[in-house]
Parts: sequence; structure tokens; C-alpha cells
Amino acid sequence: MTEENYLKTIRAFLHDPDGQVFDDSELLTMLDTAAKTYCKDTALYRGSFSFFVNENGTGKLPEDYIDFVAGWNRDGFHVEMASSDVLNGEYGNYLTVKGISKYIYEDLENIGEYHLCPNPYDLQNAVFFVPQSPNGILPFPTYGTPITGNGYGIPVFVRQSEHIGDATYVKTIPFDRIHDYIAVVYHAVYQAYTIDSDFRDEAKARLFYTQYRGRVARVGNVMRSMPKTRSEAKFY
Amino acid sequence: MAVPSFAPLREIVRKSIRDLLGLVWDDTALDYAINEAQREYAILSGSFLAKVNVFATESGVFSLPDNFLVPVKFIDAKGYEVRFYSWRNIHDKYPDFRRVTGTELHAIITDFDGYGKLRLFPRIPVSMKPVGTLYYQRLPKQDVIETKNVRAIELHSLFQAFMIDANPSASVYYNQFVQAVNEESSIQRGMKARSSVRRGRFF
Repeated sequence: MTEENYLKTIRAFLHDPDGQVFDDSELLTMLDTAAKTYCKDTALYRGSFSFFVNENGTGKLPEDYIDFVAGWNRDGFHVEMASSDVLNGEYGNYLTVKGISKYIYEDLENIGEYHLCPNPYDLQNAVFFVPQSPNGILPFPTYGTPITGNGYGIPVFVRQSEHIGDATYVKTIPFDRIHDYIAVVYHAVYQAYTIDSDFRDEAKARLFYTQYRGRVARVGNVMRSMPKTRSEAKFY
Repeated sequence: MAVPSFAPLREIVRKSIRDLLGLVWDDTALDYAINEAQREYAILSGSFLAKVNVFATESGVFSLPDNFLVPVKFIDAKGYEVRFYSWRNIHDKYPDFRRVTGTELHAIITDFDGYGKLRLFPRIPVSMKPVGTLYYQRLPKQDVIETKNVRAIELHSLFQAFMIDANPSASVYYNQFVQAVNEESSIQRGMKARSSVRRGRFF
């Protein structure tokens, strides 16, 4: 469903066709939140990323990351989620252990970053350089990963490293790409009715939220093995 | 523009919502409601089936058509059924199941690469010939009535009308809609058309 149709549908539910109560930007924010919630609740959409860590064994999670599904080290064996207790039990001072990674854990002080244990930094053999290609086209896929580009999108700084593993994760997608658009609409309307204003109506909010939950529950038939939600995971 | 084939259905819905003259609901709004009702009907009943030829790819992942809802059955090129497995089952036996290669298909994974993606296990050589056919539950065509269960469409349209008003009666109509769908498709739903799950009195 297009952005325009989304707005039209939500305005119909809110009886606000001319934007007297909610302007477009407010509704679009609600739609974004609804889409993120839907992606999180259903775990339908997946992405993958290659591990790349700094000297401390820390790397950045993708912007659209929601939840961990599975990970593999460079030899193709599982990289499991683990708490610091588990790592302490196995390695003692797990922060200093180096080698092929077996565990992944979240950085509690820097949300959005992950740690690999043992730290595979030395195995990466990472080098950074300016590409030797006059027109900016990298000669072959294994040449490296563009880190920065100029205004024309031509890479000016490239990273080359050994593969140390990768992971698959649950990701968010924009609301206009979600196939069950009515679920997103219901959640956005629910949000509108819960905003602390004269417009607030808890009974209506509950009605829309119930419908939203019903649609999410149905997804269980499609994706039979749902990953654990973050609160249930072994991260902590 | 109003959908001509929806005219009889529009009349039925108008009668139910006491809007025979179309003063509250114009044709476009009702057409939207009817399309939505049929979409919901398809999701709930799983009555609309389709098939697609599946080809091997470099990554082993094949993108399914936009109208895909739920996989039903996979028949390989030799006519044998290949079962669906959760990626977790395969993951336990083959640590990195994505890298396993072979010449013969052993499993189909639909719950790993995201909605609308199908993974062949193991990865088999890319070929111009399809490796098999996937039968799946699909979404209905837009602006075409594909079901004879007019009662279900009518009840869901009523549900939508009450939802617009945020009237609690909406839930009543939704429950009736679910009932109407179940009544019609109870036999099919009982068999589930899923070979990997044995259930019902047939076995």
C-alpha cells in the first residue's frame, strides 16, 4: 500500500479526513512505529550481515536490526548467544580471549553493538585503502567493502578483510512494504487513540489493538519457528 | 471507478448496512471493503491455491510471487514430494546448512530467509529447468470475486463498516465472519492439504 493510501485509510478510521486533529507527519510517525512493532511481533522479515569487529571484538549491528536469528563463524559452526555468566564460566576473563568466535553477546553500555567471543580481530587481517580504480568501480567482488564514498557514490575508501562469520537477523522494513497493511493501519489508529489528548479513547484503542493482535497471531501459521524475542533471549 | 462485477455484492452489503441509496457508502468505498473482505477471506480460509515453478539459484534462495501466503506442498521434477522443514531442524544436523551442496533436493525451508522466500536444501546446481513445483495458498486477485461464500464477504464488510465507527459490534461481525469461513471450508481445513502434518480421521 502506498503512503498516500495509508494516510487516507487511517484518516477514514479516525474520522479526520482533512487533518484537523492529526497532520500527516504525526500519522507517518505512527505508521513507522506500527511497522517496527509489526516486524518485531511477527519476525517475518530477515536480513543478514557479515561480522566485522574492532580490536575489542566489538562490531555494529545493522540499523534495521531487531533480533538475532542465527550466526556462524568462519568455519561454518554456530555462533551462539550467551550471557556474561556463561562466558565467565567457560573462559574466565572472556574479554581477553582471542580466536575463532563461538559466542555473541550484546554490549549493554552501547546498544546497537555486539561482541564476539573469542575475539576474532586478528583473523580478519583487515586493511583499509583507497581503491586503485579510476572510475570507482571495484574490480571484483572480493576486492573489498566500500566504507566511504564521494558525492557521486564512488567509493574512495575501501576495507578488505578475511571472512570471520556472519549472522541472520530479524529486521524492520518500511510500512509501505509490509504485506499485511491493515495490521499496520490498526496499530497506527490504536496509537492515535492512546495519545494523551481530548482525542484519547481507551475503548476504541483497545478494539483496534485487539484486531492488530489477531492479525499478528495469524502469522504464526506462516513462520512456524519464531525466534525468541529479545526479552526471552539469552543475552542477559 | 466502481468495479462492475461487484455490483450484486455491493447491493447485498448496502442492504445489510441500511444504506440502499448509497448515501453513506459510495461505490468506491464499498469496492475497497469488498476487496479487503476477500483478502481476509483468502488468508483465513486458505481456499485459493496457486503453483509456481521453482528454480535453483546460486544462493539456494528462491523468491516467491507477491500473492504468496502459505506453502502447501512441493513436488520435485521427478514427481516426488519434498517435505518442508524448519531451519532449526536442519541447523541442528548441519551447522551451516546454507553452505551444504548436493545434486538432489532433500528439504524445503520457508521460515529462514524471510517472508516470501524459499530455500532449497542442499544447494543444487543452477539450471534452466525447474527443480519442482510449489503449491501455495495465495491472495485473491484485485477487483475479481473468486469466492462463492458471499455471506463471509458480506459479514466482513459489515465488520469493516463498524470498525470505521470504532463500534464494539465490529467484533461480533468478525466472529460471524470467521464462523462463515469455517463452515464452508471445515473439510479442507481439517485435511489441511499439508502432507507433512498427519492429522484428522483420514489417517
